[in-house]
Amino acid sequence: MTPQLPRLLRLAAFIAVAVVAAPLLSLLWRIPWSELPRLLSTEVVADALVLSLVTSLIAALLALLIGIPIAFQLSRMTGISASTLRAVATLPMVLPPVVGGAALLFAFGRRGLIGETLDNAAGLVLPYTPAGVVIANAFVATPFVVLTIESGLRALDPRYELAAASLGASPLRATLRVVLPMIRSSIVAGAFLAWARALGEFGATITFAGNVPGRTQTLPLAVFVAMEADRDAALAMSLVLVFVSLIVLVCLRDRWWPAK
Amino acid sequence: MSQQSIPSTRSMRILLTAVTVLVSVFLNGCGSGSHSIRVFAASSLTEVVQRLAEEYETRYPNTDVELNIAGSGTLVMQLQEGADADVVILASHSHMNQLRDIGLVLAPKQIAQNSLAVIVSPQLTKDIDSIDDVRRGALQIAICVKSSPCGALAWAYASSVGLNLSSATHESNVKAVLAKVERDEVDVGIVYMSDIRSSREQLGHLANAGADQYSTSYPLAVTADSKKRREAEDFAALFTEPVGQSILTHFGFQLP
Repeated sequence: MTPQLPRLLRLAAFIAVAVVAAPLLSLLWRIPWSELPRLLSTEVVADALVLSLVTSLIAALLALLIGIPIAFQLSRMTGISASTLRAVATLPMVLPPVVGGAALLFAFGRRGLIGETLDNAAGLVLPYTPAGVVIANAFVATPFVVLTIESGLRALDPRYELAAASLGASPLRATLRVVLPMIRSSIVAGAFLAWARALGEFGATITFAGNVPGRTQTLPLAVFVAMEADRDAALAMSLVLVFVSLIVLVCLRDRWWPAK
Repeated sequence: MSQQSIPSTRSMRILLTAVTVLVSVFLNGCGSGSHSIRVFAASSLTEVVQRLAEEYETRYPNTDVELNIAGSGTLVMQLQEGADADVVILASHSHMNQLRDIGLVLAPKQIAQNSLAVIVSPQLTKDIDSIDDVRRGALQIAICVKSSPCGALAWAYASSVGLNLSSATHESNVKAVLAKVERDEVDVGIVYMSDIRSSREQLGHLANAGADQYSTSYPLAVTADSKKRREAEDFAALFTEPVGQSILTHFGFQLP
């Protein structure tokens, strides 16, 4: 039986939920429901929607690619070195995204440390291209992969891996055949969180990749522009973003928080 | 066992007091003092309103001018959503009319004019010296968002000279466009003449590109529900005095 919560705490929780829900309900209240199909099918909105879906999915995959090795490494470390590496790897999660965008610009921008070399050597320019959007999205999304997968790995009983090794499996084989399947739900949760974060990315994207309609203007950027130009379109796009984020979080249920 | 995890009444009381104090400081601190006025100004006027705010504060001691500087479109949106301002200066009549039509501002007066300019990044001044070079090359261009006065003008200008803006980046205000050109993050930008004057960089300016045919007017208005009507009028008057006029012309604006 679950112990009862104090009545005061329940009241506080009720008020807190109301405070969180109020802005979202106000948004729903302003949505021009009957105009929705027309608003969501304009060229600007359709372009932004497609671009957002494509770039956020690729960014989520890229985040997995970068995040999984970091998570594995972190799960075997302890003490100050683990805390330091974890802090560096998850910094983009708490950093203002615009600072992340500026950092990316100094690295991969046309005059950036790496960007200038890429431009000279291969004619590769990332800002103002969809690839730049993917980079910005992956940068902010990777920490979610690192944290969820590391917690999954730490919750895993090391005896499974040891048993596999004692039966002659190489570390690579044990990792691929024993560990990865067992942390599958953490990987799925990390991927979905990374995708949702990438879909909502604004600051790093507009700072690093600019705001080119059809190329780098993702849904959040289109909302930002439409807030001044076409309020109803902004509301319609906001609805899409709220809806998708909510679906992701409901589907994940408790999976992204380590189970007891 | 659970003794220490329950916060004592004493520490709860301290916490509550702290919260109460913080909230009351916050609420009082946010209300502007009795001698301050709040001025909403279009980004292109940044340097001008900063100078005139200083002028106002020295002329009327114990006063304070709070500046809110953003693109005209952003300012219109903020005011429509109930933002509190005493003076509003925008970069086009059509933006000001949106506010006048719903009764948010009193009769607007024109204080200045500004014309469009095509600028080139400091690194490219040797390579690009005509609009033909821009039209021909695969250059990265930056313009203001369409909903802003400089964006609307840029599109009108581009269609008149056959300039393709489909891969241009749309920045939220003219100073953002200027900064991108100054840092060589883009090759070409469409800004105002006044922005060239306020820039510290050696920008290229395509003076023969015909962009100066496209100009905009700056209307100033006092808000209808300003509680500092007299102070707001005093600030507005600076723009028509010699001091205001010389600052405007110094930064490349034309007088009406």
